[in-house]
Amino acid sequence: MRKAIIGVLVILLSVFIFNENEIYRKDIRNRLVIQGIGIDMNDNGSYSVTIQAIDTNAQSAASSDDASQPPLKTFKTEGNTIYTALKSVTELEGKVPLYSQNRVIILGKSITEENMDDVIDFFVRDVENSSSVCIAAAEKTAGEILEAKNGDEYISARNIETAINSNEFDGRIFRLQLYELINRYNSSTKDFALPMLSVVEKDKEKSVEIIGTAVFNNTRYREKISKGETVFLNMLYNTINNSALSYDYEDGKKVSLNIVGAETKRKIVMKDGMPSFKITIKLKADIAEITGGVSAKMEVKELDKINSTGEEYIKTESTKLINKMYNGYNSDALGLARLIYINEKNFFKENEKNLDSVLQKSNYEVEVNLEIRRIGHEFVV
Amino acid sequence: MELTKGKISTFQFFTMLFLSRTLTTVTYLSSYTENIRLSDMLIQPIFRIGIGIVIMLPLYLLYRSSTSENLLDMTIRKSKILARIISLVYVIFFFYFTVVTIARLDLFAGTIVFPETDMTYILIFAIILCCYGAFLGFETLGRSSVLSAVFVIPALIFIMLTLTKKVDFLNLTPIFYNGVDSVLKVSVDSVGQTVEYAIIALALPRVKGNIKKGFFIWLVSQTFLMAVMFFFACTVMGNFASTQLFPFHTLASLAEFAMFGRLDAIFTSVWIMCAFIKAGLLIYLQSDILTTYFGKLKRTTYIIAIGFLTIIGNILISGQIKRFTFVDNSMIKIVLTFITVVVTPLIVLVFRRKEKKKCEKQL
Amino acid sequence: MSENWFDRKIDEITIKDNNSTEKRFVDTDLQKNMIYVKQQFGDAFDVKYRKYNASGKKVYFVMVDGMCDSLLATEQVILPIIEADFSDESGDKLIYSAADRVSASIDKAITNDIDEAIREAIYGSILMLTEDSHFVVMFGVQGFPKRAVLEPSTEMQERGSREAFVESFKDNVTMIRRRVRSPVFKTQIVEVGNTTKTRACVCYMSDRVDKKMLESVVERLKSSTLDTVLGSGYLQPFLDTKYPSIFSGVGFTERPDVLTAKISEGKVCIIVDGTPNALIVPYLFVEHFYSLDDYLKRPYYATFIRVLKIVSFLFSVFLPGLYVAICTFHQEIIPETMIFGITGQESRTPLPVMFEALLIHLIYEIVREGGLRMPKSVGHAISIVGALVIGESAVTAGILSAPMLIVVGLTAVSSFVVSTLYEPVAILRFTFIIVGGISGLYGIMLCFSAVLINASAINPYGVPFTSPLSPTKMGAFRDLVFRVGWKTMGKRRMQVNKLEK
Repeated sequence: MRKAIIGVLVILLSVFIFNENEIYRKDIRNRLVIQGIGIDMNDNGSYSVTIQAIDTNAQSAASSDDASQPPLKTFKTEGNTIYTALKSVTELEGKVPLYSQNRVIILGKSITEENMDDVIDFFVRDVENSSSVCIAAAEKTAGEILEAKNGDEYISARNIETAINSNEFDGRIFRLQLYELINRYNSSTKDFALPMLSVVEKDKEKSVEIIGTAVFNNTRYREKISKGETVFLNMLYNTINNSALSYDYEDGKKVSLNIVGAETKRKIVMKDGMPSFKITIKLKADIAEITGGVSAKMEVKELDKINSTGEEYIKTESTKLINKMYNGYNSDALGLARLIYINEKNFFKENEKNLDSVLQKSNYEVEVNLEIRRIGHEFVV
Repeated sequence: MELTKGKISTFQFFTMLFLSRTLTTVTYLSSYTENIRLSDMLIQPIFRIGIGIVIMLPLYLLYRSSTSENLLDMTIRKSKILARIISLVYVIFFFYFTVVTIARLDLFAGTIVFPETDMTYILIFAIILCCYGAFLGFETLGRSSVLSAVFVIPALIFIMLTLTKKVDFLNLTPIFYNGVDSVLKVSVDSVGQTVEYAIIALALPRVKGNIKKGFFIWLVSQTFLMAVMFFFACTVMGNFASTQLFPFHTLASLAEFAMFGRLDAIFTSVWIMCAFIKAGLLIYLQSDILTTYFGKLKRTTYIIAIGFLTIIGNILISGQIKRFTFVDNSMIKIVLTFITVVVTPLIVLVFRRKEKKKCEKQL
Repeated sequence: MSENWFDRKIDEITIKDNNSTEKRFVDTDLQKNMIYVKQQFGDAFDVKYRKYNASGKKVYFVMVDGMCDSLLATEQVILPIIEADFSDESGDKLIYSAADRVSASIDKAITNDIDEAIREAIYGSILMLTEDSHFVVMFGVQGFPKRAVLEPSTEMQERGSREAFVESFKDNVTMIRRRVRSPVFKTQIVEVGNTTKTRACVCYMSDRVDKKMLESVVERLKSSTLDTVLGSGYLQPFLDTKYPSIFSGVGFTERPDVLTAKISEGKVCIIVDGTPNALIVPYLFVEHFYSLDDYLKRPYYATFIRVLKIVSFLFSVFLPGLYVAICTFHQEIIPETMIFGITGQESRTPLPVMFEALLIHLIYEIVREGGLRMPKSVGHAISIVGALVIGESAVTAGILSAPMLIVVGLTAVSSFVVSTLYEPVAILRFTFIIVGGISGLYGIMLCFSAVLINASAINPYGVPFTSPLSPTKMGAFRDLVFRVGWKTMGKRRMQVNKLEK
């Protein structure tokens, strides 16, 4: 009996081992390690997909010391769907694409304005795709972003991802990962925001920069807000960790604050049958710079002025942004409709179909509590 | 080479059941809760505890009447035929859950890990190993479950801890948005997926120690685990969870620690260890019932036969999503659980009461 | 049918054992006795026969030259006997007189079994036979060449003693006696090996050993069906669990201090004559991670070292398999900073990752085994060749990749941290490489679960191999991964017979 069982196991193992197709196909040497995917739509309705991948042939020939910037190559393929377009890369390279190391998905203008519904499913359905991949919108085409070269080298998707992820240190950048996008996509308002990328040329050198944040309404791109406004978007959305903020506090004097901690609380109350939102932003900041000369000491009055001016500035700008979003762009990128859903479910049920107008008519109150902790090499008297 | 039957401690037994239930929790399919909002899944475990305690009452009363016998032992004294019928019911129940457990593992592996591979050989390999676990006996399964728990519990805690920074309370949904009915229905479904109640019905005489304490700790801990996992699934992923076949696996793939991302590898390990213990235990129980109440063949022969049938069953389901959906049906599970956990103990209880009354009359 | 065919084959090749167990008594005819003895020894050049005249009586001395101390034999035995006055004594009386009055040797015995006398002669006794006697005197004058007590070669300790066992079991027992100056330390001799008649000394402490376990050990040794026993490893399968497993429930040590510690826990140790490695039963899995240094150093450091050993063990078993599984099936786990290096390096090599891993580990095992067997004088050459072949050249030639070399290097070093587990680790490593290459992490975890359950099934002498982890014994946790200080630990003894079964 034991010999029979051992015999069966040996046969099974042999079948496995000699089933070399599986082992060869999935091996890392036979995979095309994709770093970035850009999607555009052609005039004829087909998709044009730009892929940036590691060039393993050049990588293996290159010195092994030089691992910081791997050699990259790009492919441009077309297809009726995203999947067929991506699969076509196998014909060009002879390797199976590896999506799990993809760093960024860039959606061109032709997609963001009209056709996001048709492209999202592949990235959710495919099991290899990372759910935490960054999504970005291109100012023009996604292909332009991924094919941009600085000299002879491509601007790598990894660098783009690093730039987007720097929202942890720079509140001027808004980040949305795939799972967050789908979360918003499947919510009642389908509104969200994405970082916007563009190729910038300075002194004959090209670079890919984040030029602002693209605001979407009902999965369609509406408008771009500046990086300065993105700081307040992050504040209102409670995704700000660390950022720089500068404003005028006196004639001819500017102050720059280094925001080191932030917490935003958002509450909703019903007033006269309509939701009224109260947003409290608590910030902790250090004074990084004050223009207009150097002094060894600062008066308490001046510090208070900086504080109060800062609070006023943040409040004004935040309120402006809220109005812009709801009245201008008709977009709930701030996610306030969610508060109605959670806290006033009956009201939400009744008004689910016309949330846009509800949000336009709602009242928004922003309160700012700015605490300046340190002022650097200066006394307070 | 059969190992002797022996008792295991309460700690080992309920650890085995904890791992078994953890498998059901972590392999939760989003299709089960299509009509319920995610936050309600945080409340549902509480309803589960209540329903669980209620349906365990007949078993509890039976256990109180005799701690050294399970309900099959009690039945065989009354009627051998009835005992055999009831034992067949349990065998079918456990066999069904063995097939479903392996089928879920196949669905997971076939979808996530080996999407383009024929899973047949891997399934055979897995089932052979589960049969091996069953062959080694109850005590060995108990011991290995404690060792597996040493990996499983810290792994789950680690994954949860790495996800804490991604929690967004805005992803919560209003409680009872679709009414209480849907939550109750999901709770009943969840109880229907709990094969552990039937395991308790049969295996209690093989356990030594404070069983009541063990049972309540198990019930509370696995409910707590379920609630915590749903909490993270809801607050981290929000609506994204409902787009994923195995939301908890996707949740683990979002976990990051230092430069390592995608901790779903740890999650896969947890899954497989729990599946091994569960399938091994279920196959063992089937072989034990057949050996004890039908005899004739050796336990090893029964294990091989059960393994063979499980292989056939799973090969038929493997790669066929429609067949899987048909087999992994909530109604079948609820009915079978109800029969094995409520109906049969009640029947045995009624018989015992009648017997007791007869004895008292005679006295 | 196939089994019968197999058994038939075994009958053809195995010569049946024809040892008779009947006692052969000493004959009163000295000539007959001497003929028999000479027949048994044949033409062995090292067996010496000398006839002397003691007070007119014929006396024969028989000794195996290499096993006896000739000077001791001459001065302590032969000279006093031939100079003594036996005029009034003959036969049995002469034998007893020579044994009791004449020779001052403390190691002596009288027997009427001539085969027993021959066995004692082989062990280093000098036999005295005379006419008209039913008995033979055996004087112990052992003087065979033996190795001096040296430092242990495999179990190095920083602060422990520098003594290791030698081949003579008497010297080994003496080393233990020096450490346990108490009559509770007991020994029991069992002869194993039908031809070699090797002596195995069962050592234990009578006040804490489990009597049933002790009886079981002795029974198993006696029932071992071996013809020759040349090392303690021969006896290991007889003492081990009956259940096939990759791990063994029998441990070994070459250190007397470690053995003393084990028997003080209630275990039974077997010292086999001719082997410097003693066997310990039952040996638990966690004990592979203990060393004597853990108990000689501060608890916090001892804890750190144990954790290091556990991590090293995990590395040595899983690292190559995990690397293969990740490169083949789970590339998403590779951190982004490493994907470039690994992809580039692996794409240069001709073999898939699994075969590359198998090849390099095979080469490593070959070099390791070669280094073990090579004469010391050429040992350096092996290490240089190994480093050059496996290291620089293989990577430069594109046969192997640098990440794979790092993996095998780390694995190799880690496997020697817990050297007592090297055998199962080496096999498991290859198993996990194959399983990882075929079915990724899924297969590795299934295989690991199977290994775990296999280890859980080992139950030598009723003590589960996985105790005190499972079944859990909370009291033992103070000396599991974390070690408490001696002031706490010394309060209660850790005893085998108190472990939950």
